[in-house]
Amino acid sequence: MIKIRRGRVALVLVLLLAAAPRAAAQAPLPDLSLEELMTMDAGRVFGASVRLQPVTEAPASVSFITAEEIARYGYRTLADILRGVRGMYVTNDRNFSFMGTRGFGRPGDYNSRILLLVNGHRVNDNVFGQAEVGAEFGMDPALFERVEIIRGPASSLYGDSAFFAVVNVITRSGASLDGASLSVDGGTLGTRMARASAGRRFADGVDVAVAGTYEASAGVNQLYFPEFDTPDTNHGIAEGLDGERAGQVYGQVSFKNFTFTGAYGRRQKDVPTASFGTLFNEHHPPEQTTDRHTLVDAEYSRTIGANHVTIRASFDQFSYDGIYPFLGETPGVPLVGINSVLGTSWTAEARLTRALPGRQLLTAGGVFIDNVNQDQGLRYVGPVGQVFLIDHSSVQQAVYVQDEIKLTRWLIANGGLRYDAYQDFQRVTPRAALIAIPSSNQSFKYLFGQAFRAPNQYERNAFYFGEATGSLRPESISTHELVWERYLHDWLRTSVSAYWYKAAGLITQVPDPSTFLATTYVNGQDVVAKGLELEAQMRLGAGFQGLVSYSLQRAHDVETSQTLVNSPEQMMKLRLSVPGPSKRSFVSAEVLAMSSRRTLAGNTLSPTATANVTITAPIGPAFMLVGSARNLFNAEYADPVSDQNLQDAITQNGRTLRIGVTWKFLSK
Amino acid sequence: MTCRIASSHGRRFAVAAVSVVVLSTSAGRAQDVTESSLKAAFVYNFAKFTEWPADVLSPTATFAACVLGDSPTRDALDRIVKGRQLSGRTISVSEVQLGVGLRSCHLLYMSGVTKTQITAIVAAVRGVPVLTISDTDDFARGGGIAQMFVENGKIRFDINLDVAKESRLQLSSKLLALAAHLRGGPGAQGW
Repeated sequence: MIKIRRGRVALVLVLLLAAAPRAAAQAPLPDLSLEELMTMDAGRVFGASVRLQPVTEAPASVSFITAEEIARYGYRTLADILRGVRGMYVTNDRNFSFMGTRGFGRPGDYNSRILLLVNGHRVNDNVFGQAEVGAEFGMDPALFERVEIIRGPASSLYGDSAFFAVVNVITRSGASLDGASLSVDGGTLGTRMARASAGRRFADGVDVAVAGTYEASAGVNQLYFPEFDTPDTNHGIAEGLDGERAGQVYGQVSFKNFTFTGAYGRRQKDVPTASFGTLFNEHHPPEQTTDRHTLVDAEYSRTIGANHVTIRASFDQFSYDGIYPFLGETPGVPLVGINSVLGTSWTAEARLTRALPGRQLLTAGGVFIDNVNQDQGLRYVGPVGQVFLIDHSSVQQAVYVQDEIKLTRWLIANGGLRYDAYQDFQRVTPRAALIAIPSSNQSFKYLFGQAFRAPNQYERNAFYFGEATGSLRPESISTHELVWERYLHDWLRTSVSAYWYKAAGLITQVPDPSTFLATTYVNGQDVVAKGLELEAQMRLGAGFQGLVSYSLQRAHDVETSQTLVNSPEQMMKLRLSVPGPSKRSFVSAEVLAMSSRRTLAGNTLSPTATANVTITAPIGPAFMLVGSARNLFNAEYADPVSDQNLQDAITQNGRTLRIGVTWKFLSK
Repeated sequence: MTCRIASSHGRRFAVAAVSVVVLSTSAGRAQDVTESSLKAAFVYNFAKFTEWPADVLSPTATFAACVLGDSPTRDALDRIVKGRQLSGRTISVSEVQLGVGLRSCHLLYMSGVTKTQITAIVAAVRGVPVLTISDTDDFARGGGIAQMFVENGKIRFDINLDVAKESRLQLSSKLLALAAHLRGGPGAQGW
């Protein structure tokens, strides 16, 4: 049976590739009109050095996704975006989305080894250290100007969590929104969405953007879990327990040198998997998680002579409520556990970038974070009882410096160092890069970096995991990487990247019968990995653009020499966007393939390939029709999950369809 | 794991979706060119949409494009002009140094130089038909003619028409229409 599915994926590949030569031969850059040149991306990245620089000069292997691509490929979450990025994969346990990269995607970890930024500001919460990438992220991808993916360790700039990669989401300004729009869509699984946005840059330079989105989905109505297939537990069928509801508001105002950004997002998910030993197919109440993110950010950024100064103050709040129905003493009346988490922090940051003699560019900065709340609690209702309540707070600070020296016209040296002070420990992390640019269309990079991830407050929860986790130490990684990027004929970019890393003292969950959850965390695992990533991105005439990437990674446990759990050895991704049948319409398809993965229980999941297709078609000047099919061929596949689940792997959604319309008005 | 066979409806949809390649105009590009190639293409286009007075650029003369301080863009411009002409004239691209023979350039692109140096250069070629272009902040405001900048990842440009006129350069209306900001002339806005 699997052959049929692969055959079909191959068919799509062949059709798409066959279509390529039919597109007109690519016009060289100077033959393009000025209007066309103005739609092309200049290839700059911010997050690699906390300033805008050409990707070719950045001390990292960088990818970015633009607003245009988000619209064309119908991406609805940050997770959708990241799935298509070279070397990245996302697993889902029908509660949260988890990001894997460089062969590391350990089930049960809360995405704390990826740093997630919004406009350069950290948004990993301060309890789980989690980068939330599904709808729980709290921002609508329709409001992303671009997403930068900066691979490799970057603790020398950002400290904690910048372990495997940094994902920087840059949000849209009023000028970018340019006018008002209303969108609605609906689809299978009871999905419906409404969005309103408006934005403008006024003649006096004031720029305003506002937006709000509400989205709900009933999810898969009947999910079968063989692990629960008994007469007492509805024969393993969870009914009507896969719903998701998300609401988001976003606003940004900028004038002169000030930018104020505010965002609030709330996501509620019904959990059908009966994780954490909860009752299966329980509806009164269902297992459910609610995540809320609030961000208020004020930035002042200004060039004074040869200095560029940025001063920033931010308020972040994350709260989480988990409702868990357990078996109660009275038959038919569950004992309901409510897990509440509140993470609040204030951040003050200042940064200076200055050109120095000898073709140097120096960046220095300092950060102070006051974690006002890092609170966790668990209480029961029916009967009522507080199980535990931890009110925690902490402060941390850091200073960093980075220097870029243009040694010769074609050689750049880049070095950075950051000192982080926590209440229990300090860390110094370096990064160094040597970048050769022998011609304007080619660059070679050697990159070395270290990073750390601090034990988070969840792992240090003494009630769950015992007092011993109070002495957990930060885990660390050292990475070496070689990158070769090449731009050919102004329409083809190729990139080759080879890396090696060793991660040591990884904070790992181990059984411990003496604790409340019968597990604890120790600085246990060491991992060594090497990988090779290839990518080609092309732009042919007539709006035809494509990207193909292949990644090979071997990540293994040093002690056991075994390949890591949830670590595909190979991945291949293909993205193609071609003009559609009507003017300004596009058909955009992606194929995401992954080799087999091992599960926690030692099983092996089959290789998977899924295909997504989105069609965007304008109707008149003001309306845009969007139709999307995800997992077009209804491929059946499952993701490995953590030991919080009785299941070893959880089946993912089959084909889903969406169709929607956007009405744009009041554009300049 | 096994797999259900997709409905014929789904298959037809897919085939229709991916095999339709109808040519039309394009929009939206991604990460496939370098910033210097793109800038060089803009520089070339600025020249295409400018007319020089006949006394400095006769129909048979070679067009002198000068680059100061940005060798990647010089290289890219070199590649671009290879085999191309500007209104029948061949184009020569040369890298120039501060203060040396700038007035004999028809076009001068400068980057990576300080504001003080820019002020000096702009003053040195004032009134001479040299199309000055830069990506330095406030270049057009400070007496340069065309200033490129990056906004939302894409290249935009400002034009100072007053200086262009003073330099006896005729810029096409198309160029003016596409400028983000325009100083001087009808429809000037945003300064």
